[in-house]
Amino acid sequence: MLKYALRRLVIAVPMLLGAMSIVFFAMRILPGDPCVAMMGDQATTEALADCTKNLGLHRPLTVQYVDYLWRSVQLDFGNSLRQGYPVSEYIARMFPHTLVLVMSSAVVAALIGIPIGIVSALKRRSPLIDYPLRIIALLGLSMPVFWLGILLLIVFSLHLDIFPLIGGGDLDGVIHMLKTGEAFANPGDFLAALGDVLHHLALPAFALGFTLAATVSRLSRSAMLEVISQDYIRTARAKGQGERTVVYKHAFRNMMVPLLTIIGLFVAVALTGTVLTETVFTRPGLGKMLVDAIGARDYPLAQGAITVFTMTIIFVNLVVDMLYAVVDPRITYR
Amino acid sequence: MLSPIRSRFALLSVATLALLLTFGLVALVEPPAADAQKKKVLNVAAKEPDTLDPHSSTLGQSQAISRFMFRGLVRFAIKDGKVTTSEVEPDLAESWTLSPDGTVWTFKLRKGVQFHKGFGEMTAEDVKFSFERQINKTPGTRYGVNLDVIKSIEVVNPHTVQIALKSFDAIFLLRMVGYQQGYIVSKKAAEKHDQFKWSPIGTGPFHFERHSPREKIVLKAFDKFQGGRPQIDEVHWFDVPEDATKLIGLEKGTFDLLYPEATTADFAAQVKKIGAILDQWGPGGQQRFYINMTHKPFDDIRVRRAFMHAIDRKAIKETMYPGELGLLAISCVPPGYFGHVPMSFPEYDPEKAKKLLAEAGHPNGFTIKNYFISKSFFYPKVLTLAQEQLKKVGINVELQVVEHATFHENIRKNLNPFVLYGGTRITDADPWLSLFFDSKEIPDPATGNKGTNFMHYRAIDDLLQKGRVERDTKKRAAIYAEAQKRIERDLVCLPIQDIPNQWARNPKRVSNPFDPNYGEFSLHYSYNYPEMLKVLN
Amino acid sequence: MAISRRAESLDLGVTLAGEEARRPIGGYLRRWLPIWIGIVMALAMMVVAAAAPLIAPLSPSAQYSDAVLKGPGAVERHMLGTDEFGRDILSRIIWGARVSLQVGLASVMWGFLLGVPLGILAGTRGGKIETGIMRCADMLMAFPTLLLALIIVTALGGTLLNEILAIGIALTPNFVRLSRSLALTIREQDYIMAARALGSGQLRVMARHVFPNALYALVVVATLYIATAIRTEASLSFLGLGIPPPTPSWGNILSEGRQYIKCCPWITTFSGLAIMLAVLAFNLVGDALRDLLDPRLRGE
Repeated sequence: MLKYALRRLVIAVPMLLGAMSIVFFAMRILPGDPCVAMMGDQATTEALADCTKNLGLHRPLTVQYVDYLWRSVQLDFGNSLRQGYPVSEYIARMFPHTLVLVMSSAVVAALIGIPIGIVSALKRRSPLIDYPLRIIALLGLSMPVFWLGILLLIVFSLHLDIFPLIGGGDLDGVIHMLKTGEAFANPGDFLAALGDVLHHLALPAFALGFTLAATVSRLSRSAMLEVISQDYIRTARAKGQGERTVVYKHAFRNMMVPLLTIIGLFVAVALTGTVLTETVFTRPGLGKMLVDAIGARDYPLAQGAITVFTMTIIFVNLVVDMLYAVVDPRITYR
Repeated sequence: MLSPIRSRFALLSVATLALLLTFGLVALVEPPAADAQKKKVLNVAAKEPDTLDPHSSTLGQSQAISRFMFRGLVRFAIKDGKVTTSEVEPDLAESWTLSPDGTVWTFKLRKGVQFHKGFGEMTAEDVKFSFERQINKTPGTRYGVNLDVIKSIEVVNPHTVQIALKSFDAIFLLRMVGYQQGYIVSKKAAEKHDQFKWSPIGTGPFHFERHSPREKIVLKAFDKFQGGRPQIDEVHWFDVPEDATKLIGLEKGTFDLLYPEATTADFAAQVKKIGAILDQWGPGGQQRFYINMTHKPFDDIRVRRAFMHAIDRKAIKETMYPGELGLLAISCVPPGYFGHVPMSFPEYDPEKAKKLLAEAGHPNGFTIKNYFISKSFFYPKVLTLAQEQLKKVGINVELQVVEHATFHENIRKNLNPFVLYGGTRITDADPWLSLFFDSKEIPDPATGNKGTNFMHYRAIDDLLQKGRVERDTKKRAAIYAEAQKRIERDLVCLPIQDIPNQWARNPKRVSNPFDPNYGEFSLHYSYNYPEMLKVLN
Repeated sequence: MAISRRAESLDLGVTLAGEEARRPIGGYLRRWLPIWIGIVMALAMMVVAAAAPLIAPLSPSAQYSDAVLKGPGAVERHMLGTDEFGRDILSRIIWGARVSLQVGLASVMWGFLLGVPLGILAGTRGGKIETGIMRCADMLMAFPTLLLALIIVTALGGTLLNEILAIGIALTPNFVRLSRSLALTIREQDYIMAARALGSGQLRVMARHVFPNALYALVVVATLYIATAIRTEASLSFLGLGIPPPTPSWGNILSEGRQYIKCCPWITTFSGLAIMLAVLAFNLVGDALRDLLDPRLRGE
């Protein structure tokens, strides 16, 4: 197990390196000069040349590449070309916002998707229940998230006035209080800040979660179908084990595998979804930041953000693979 | 057989429902409104600035927020309740004199003007530093070119500064207005350039408090502002890129002021519907076509004339900015700029256009492949409208919508045979014409020249030379009138519309002493006197 | 690697209750109804797309400056209203079907053509070739589909062809992984062993035995990816990287209209509905086919 984990880690390194290289060269192939992007239409020829030099963009590509890799190893992604902040600091501020969005939308997707999946599996012989449920799940997948998002804002934020319009809430405050231990000394303040974060999170998490619920319901439906028809469940019942034992020990264990798969798939899909969700709900976060950085040709910021994106995806998949073995002893590692 | 499992899942469903409810309840708990009642907070919805160093950014939002924190030696005069763009009055300078030969300006600074956050009194050293950092092209600064006329700056005493020019400059005082190159920054603070970007120190009515990237910037009232502490306690500048979100926020009360990406017909209608006001100020940003007269087939003046006959300027204006939202352009030097005279352009007449094209050897028209257009602001809209009009006379334009940066890069590589361009400059014909019509500004990828004379126009160089050294106002005006006549003759520039800068304001929350319609003038994008805004309860 | 194969087979949902198989008559309708609904919807849209010049009442790019941002029916000529340039929404949606379906079908075809041969090669040959191909696929998989498409479109410029290419390339690694895992399973089947034993060449085995056997599963998944591709096109348009004007695509119409969502919701509503129905149609077909993809059922 440990050996396998180590091997996977070793494989992850060249993957990450490859992904980073793709980003580096892709950013350089993109038409558009970051200096023109930064300095706008009033920049003079000399000023543009100065800018290029100051940013080190006049150096040969290979030199820039080696420099970038070497500094990335030290987790130094340089400074944002546009705003001047250190990239690592900037990402560290954005990442928690994206993380809580992905996690809470996972919760929403599970809350919508799993019941739908289970009920539609159990009721698969009554089309009147099964089809509407599956179509609801599919609607989420079919509805463009930015459309759903704006509708949600108009209804719940403007007309009903129960959710805020923009922002991510006082997440910095929550993190700070957790770090300093103030959360426990001052639970009232902490809960207020946490409530604020959840308040801001509700609509975006719902919008993103709803779009992902279809995948979850599909997987849980088929998992459920498999589970209730398995021989070993019948065997267990035949052995005279109580239903409770049967469900927990066998059915649940087997549900875990597809659940893990969902999580693995989910992270990549949800991270993509954050790009659109963060735009519609005007939330700070990594996804929208990355798209903006590409638009502004902010090389260091885009590189840093994509590195974090891919690292997250690779890491989550690694963990999921590890967990397969824990929940399903049939899976062995070579 | 399935019932026990089913009951298990009934239980699960109940648990799910409970969870959902809890989630909803937590979401409903309003966070305690921390003493927001007492403080007067101005909530602005705009895009996020790229820097707060006033000498560093050309972006609209960055320039708009600069005026909240920075001031210059002089400012636009307020006359009859209106702000002008032609006359200036003292601001950080108390008075000034010009030497008889017209090349040495001496400014006497106001005493006791304080910088933010205890950076001390503003002195002649700060003035010298503020201009020299730009002239020396300190990394990041953008506006040095507007100060190129300066030969040297001398500190006479802490409150007197002498600026020697290379030659007479008719618009020097306009360059000293608190705007772009004219802002005075604290030398002590700005010497550390990297930090200055996000810890700006000026003498304006508000000082920088904090920045949460991609969320908001908080400014606070500056107690020692030389014009008196503003009524507003805090300015919260939110990063809101989408206009639809801004409008919802204005109606909901989240925002008091909106800086729209594009003021369109529906935007104005919505603003009116919810009882808000559009504050307009000029001179408008002009949206115009520059036709490259060296690019085939536009090297033929008949084709240029046909192009102009094909464009229905009025339809473009009325579709995008109906009624008072914009003005049909009447000259290649916009109204409100010194030296402007009305010009005439070929009227909309597709039949004539077709005839001219046939005469020029294009009876079936022609196709322009890979025409680059920015995906931002008004660019795609104007082009979409023009594209359809040009199609009617046989000119097919195949668009490539690209990032704004790519657009700017590509037009400087002369890839577009005609260029759509927009924006404002210092309100005088000289800087305007010098930037867009001087042969020195012809972009050329071979030499790396990234100028903005996209027409490759060379016919008014002599007039520009003459105008720069002319000290008589009337004669200057005549020179620029002649320049506009030549431009009219050569058919290289087709101005479409002059669009004022406009923000939406909730009048129940914020009052502005100036008339919403052009009561205030401003060079770029925002309130010239933000300290006069008041938050109402 | 046993693990990833396991994950993929689950992702495919290659399972179905044996119970269901025992009740074939009631099951038939249940299983096939959504497929038929989906197929009918998809076909209807394809017909609309193909016959756009005949059906559309007006030109999709004609600008009526006297009818800017008019609601459905406000001007008789415009049944579903007009957009910011006074263009007819109905005609744009009809023509947009062309572009959106074209992007959906063609990009999946690209992904299929690029991905499947590589995947089958990896699955059948194994060894270094497999490792190499799969590492590359994994590397690309680490980029979310939209992001990859976004970078490619930014680099190439947003034309119809580039859009198709970008989404196609972004989908490729999915096809590689899927067809490899299918090939791995098929490789172990007796008849392949037999074919090998009879002296069939590698290429022949791949083309004659592995590919046809994987085809069914691949087509099912391809159907689902058509839905993904249509959504990706809409998302790219939303991010300002769509197909350039005046060509209408559903994504274009939707994203141009979002600025007007409060005053003129018809622009986004009708285009949003079009996207929704198309995605729903392909999902219904794919989803239901996927349920049928149970080896036990196929044997019946």
